[in-house]
Amino acid sequence: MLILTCPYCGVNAEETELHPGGEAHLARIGPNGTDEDFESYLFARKNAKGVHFERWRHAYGCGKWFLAARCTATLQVFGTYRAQTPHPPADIVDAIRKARPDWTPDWTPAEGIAE
Amino acid sequence: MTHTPPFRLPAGGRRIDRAWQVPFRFDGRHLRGLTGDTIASALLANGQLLMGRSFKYHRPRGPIASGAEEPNALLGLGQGGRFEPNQRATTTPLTHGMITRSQNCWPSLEADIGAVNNWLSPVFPAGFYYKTFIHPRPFWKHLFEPIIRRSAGLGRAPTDPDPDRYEQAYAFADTVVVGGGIAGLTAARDAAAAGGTVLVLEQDGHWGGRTPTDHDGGQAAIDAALADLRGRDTVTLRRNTMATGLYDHGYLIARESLADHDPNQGIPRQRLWRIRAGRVIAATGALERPLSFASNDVPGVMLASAVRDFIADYAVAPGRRIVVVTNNDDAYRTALTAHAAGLEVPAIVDARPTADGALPQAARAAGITVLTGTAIAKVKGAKHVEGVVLCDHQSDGTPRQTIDCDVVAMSGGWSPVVHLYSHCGGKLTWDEGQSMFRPDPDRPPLGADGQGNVTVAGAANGDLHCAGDLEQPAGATMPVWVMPARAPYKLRAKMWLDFQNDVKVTDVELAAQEGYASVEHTKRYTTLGMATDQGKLSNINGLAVLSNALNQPIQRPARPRSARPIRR
Ligand SMILES: [Zn+2]
Repeated sequence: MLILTCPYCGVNAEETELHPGGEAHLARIGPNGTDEDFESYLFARKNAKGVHFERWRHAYGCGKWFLAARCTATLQVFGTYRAQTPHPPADIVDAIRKARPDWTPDWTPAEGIAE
Repeated sequence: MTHTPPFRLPAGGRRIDRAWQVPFRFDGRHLRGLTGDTIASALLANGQLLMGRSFKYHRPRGPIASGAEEPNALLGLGQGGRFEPNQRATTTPLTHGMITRSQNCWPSLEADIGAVNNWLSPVFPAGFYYKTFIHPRPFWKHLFEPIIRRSAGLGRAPTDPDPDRYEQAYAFADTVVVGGGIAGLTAARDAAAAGGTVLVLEQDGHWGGRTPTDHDGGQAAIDAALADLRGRDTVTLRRNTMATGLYDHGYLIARESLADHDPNQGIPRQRLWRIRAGRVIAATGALERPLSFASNDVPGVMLASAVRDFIADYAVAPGRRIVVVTNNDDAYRTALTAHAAGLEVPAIVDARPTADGALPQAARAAGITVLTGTAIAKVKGAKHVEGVVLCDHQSDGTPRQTIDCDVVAMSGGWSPVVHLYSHCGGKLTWDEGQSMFRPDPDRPPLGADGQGNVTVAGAANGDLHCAGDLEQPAGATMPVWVMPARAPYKLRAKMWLDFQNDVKVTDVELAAQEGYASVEHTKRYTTLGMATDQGKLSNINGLAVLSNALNQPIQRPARPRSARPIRR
């Protein structure tokens, strides 16, 4: 039973207050996408053992979607952040690297939209 | 040697009240116990040592332990909708008019037909189910399955709906201490002094764990600690509450017994606690290990600590002549307790070459014979211990002498209760010096912040002498996995490891021989440790036998992890 802090209302919410939304930061495929792209978007998930980014909804609280960075093996939570971002923000990346020095992001920040 | 009354001792018994008799029924017979008795102590006080039959071979069995680790003394309680199978006689308090029934026997406990399985035991080897599923298919369908189906199942399922009420509750505490023994109460006091709220859970109805029974002045130390805690308004003490599982981020589940088997109180029977703990201190103590010698399952062979508990806590003599067999100093307390209660202790059989700690010296000073370097070659008797045949421990079991007795109090050392620590990812380490698995402080379960959120205190941490000033210097425990050391097959085939599932030393050796090198596979193949007692007594001994058979150090095949929840 995880405890995650909602970044909007600041409540330390227990898992029973939350609704899970699966892997975060999936890039949506448009009408011109190939079948393989759609298949990957719809079904292929990282299922990581270790650092993982997830969507959660504060269902029995403020009702908003937020994102969480946590370790699926040790249950350590590196941080939670607002959902309107294509990649984890810098403070989350720093928190992860502090705990997992050999972890590297699998995206290029340059792709990201400026915060 | 016969089992002779009186079984209730004239003095002592810290948990019983002699002024209040409690009538109850066992297999239809009307018996009487005392207020404060458990079912097991009340049955022993009535001379009823035989309390059940084992699952596979239907061998006669009496209680081995005095607490939650008991594998044998499982009874059916109540009737109608309140009938409940497989209740531990050693932890269930006796209540007025209670109806209790023995299990796994037909037509009766004394004369059971299923015991024929015992004579057929060479036909039912380890892995029997796997082998017959595969090889002679018609045999399975027409011969084995009908027989097994008729005798299978532990106890009987109730037929009526449960009329009792149950409730749920939530609690939040900065620190939750699990275990109300001396280590837990001390840790709770320190935590409360450091600030924050503290919740202390104790599975038993009495505070103190083993300390009041084992140490002079133990009860006074416990009372002082309790008085201190009760004086603090940040501390909550809760008895009859067993923490059964620790889940993510300090989510602890506990079960409180409110009106178990006393349905007339009009209150919920049990309460399920969902507790959010900032951190958990596991002070869950240790469990004594049985010793593996031939016929160690005959009723009357009990853990040394259990014999001591029945005498000191309930003033019940499990027998009149008690032989103690041990590989450590702690079991000498049982000899001293029995001696002080006026029972005979013809000998203490110690596998170690020397025994010169404070307790062995006290035993010798009391005039008790101490036989060092000695082992039990076998136990005499079928439905009751009649005597023991002794031999040199470093031998193949050649008989040296025979001693008449009606109880054997055995101690193979102690194993820390590490379930809560390993429930949520904490790792264990093998302590070679004390031959035990204990929590590895460098690899604890982690909380949301990535820091360890469970610490371990006292005997659960491998500190078996945690009662501070009350302790006396003790000699080291010598690992004894098979007794005598070079026991031949004939003796090993009668050494029980798992009493409830009837797993013997030779079954585990057979599994190793057939290529089961992983402990998890061996457990499933032999059913070792898979009974309702979850291997609380059998796992470490079984691991040691397996690793010896594989010629590996114990930590190689053995990475013990505990499944949730702990069962009581
Ligand atoms: Zn919220």
